[in-house]
Amino acid sequence: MMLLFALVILAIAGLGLFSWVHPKRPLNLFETVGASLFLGSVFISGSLFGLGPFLRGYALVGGIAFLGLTLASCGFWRLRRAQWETLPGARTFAVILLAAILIVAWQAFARPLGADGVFNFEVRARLAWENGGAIPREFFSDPSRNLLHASYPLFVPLNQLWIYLCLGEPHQSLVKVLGVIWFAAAACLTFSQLTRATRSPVPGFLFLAFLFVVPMFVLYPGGAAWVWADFPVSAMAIAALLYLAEYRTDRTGLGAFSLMLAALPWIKREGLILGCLLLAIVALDAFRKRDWRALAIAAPPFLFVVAGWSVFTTAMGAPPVGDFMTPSPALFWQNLEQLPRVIAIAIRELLVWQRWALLWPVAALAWIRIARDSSLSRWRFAVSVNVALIVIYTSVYVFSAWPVLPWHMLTSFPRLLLAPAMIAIVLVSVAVPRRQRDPVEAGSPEMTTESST
Amino acid sequence: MLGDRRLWVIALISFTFVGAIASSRHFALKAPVFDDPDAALRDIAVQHLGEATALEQLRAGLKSLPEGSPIYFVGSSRSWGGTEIYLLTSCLYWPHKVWFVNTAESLTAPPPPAPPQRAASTDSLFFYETEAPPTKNIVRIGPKLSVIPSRSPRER
Repeated sequence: MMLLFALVILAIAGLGLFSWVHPKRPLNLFETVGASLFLGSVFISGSLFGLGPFLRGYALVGGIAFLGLTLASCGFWRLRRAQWETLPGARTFAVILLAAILIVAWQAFARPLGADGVFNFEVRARLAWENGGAIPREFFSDPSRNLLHASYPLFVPLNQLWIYLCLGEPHQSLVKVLGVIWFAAAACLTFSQLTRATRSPVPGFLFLAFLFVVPMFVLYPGGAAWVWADFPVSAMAIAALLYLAEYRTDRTGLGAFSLMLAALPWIKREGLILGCLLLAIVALDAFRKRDWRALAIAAPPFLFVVAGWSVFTTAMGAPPVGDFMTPSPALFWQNLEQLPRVIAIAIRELLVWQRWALLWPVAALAWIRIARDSSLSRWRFAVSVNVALIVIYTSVYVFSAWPVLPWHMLTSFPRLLLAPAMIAIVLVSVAVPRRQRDPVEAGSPEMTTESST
Repeated sequence: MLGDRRLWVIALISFTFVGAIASSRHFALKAPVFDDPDAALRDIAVQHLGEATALEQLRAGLKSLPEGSPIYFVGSSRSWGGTEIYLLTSCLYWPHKVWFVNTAESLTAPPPPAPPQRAASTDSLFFYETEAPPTKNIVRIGPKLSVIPSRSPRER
């Protein structure tokens, strides 16, 4: 019962947040549910971070529930005049999604969190629960616990803490529900955005199918069933990318993009790279069109989160993560001889069918088709982001501080590739040619719109 | 050519076929667990200590140590088991210090920081996959972990 309470507060608080940033166009159920679950998780982790040091136990739960309900009330008020639309294929998708969620739930609850899940995330939630709701200050600066990576962002642990506070105890089985929530959010939001963009449900269905075809997305360590930060950061990056695609063509969705962009570095350190790349696209557009509004809206929240977390970890005395040396052009040139080896390992990883199936060869076909076909030109920026991410993630290993480079890449590179892989399946989904009678090619939108008032 | 649906049908069928084989290897054919608050800790302890009650034994061992005495964990950073049992001990023993004493001659990853000073008689010693010095009060948790509790001030 208390688990349900925790999830309801998370979802309605997210709805409240979404009501402030939703695109000024007809909304649909899948988008609203997906965005509410993502933004609710951002709200819960953010408010626990802010209120945890001041409130304890049930007072903390009550305070956050009150804030969430207030936000939700404002949200219902703001959304009362929203236009609503029904997406083509919505009912079929709902049925398939339900089956998919059941499979993910089974897989999530049937396996434990894993060592990385415990030591990089869950232990913080456990210590915070024992401490009444705030991670003890000593945790961040304890030199004997250097391997627990105190400077990792707190999105996942604080959502776990929310579940623990509501349940009244740390519970490593029930906390796996978060993986199911984030999977559902990713599937709903991506279906909505792809269906709106292409006016066909087919890419959304393909995206959902690919989540199961590639083992890394759900089953492999780091996937949705494990409740580590890799899946939510990748899913949030996809959501931000799809809102950016919407803004670039329809000039709507900038608010949602900005909020999701800002969440990226709060979920995982790699979110900084993902966010910088998306922001670079916004900056390039602004430079080309001499229109700086989008950059002025999107950049400040992102930079605030990056700078805020950096100031916090410095103030707490958290040691920097020692996996990489501080990048500099001089160091890059010095370690350049490592590059061929890094590239060879990276290519070998992309071809590991046990993790990726045939994703990357199929993605390459999609990139080429999108680059050549003018009807797919709106997705060209996403191809650039996709390729750039793979190149950047590969080249950072030139700065590896591990004595044995292949070992470092073997243990971290596959999970690093999760976000580019998710972008790749979006691109494959839109690049697959559809039948002539398909609405997008016939030019007859099937979406039905109705007002909620 | 890339606009030809037949090419994509072949590509997607191959993709799905290979993906289905790959996914089936990672699919957990186990019943979901909803009622174990320590599921992940237990899994790590059982995996590396080799006994079903390893987590309970480790907790009892840590409880029996004199309040606040630091632990020196001797093991190899090259072994997953060594690192994970060290981290598990470190989490269960919060807020007291657990230092890692690395026995690996060559390193694959950056090692945890070395202890600031040598162990004293008031410190407890844990040995993972490492021969412990012969003493009377040695406690074994599974075949790989040996614990030499510190002597309490009264014993000294």
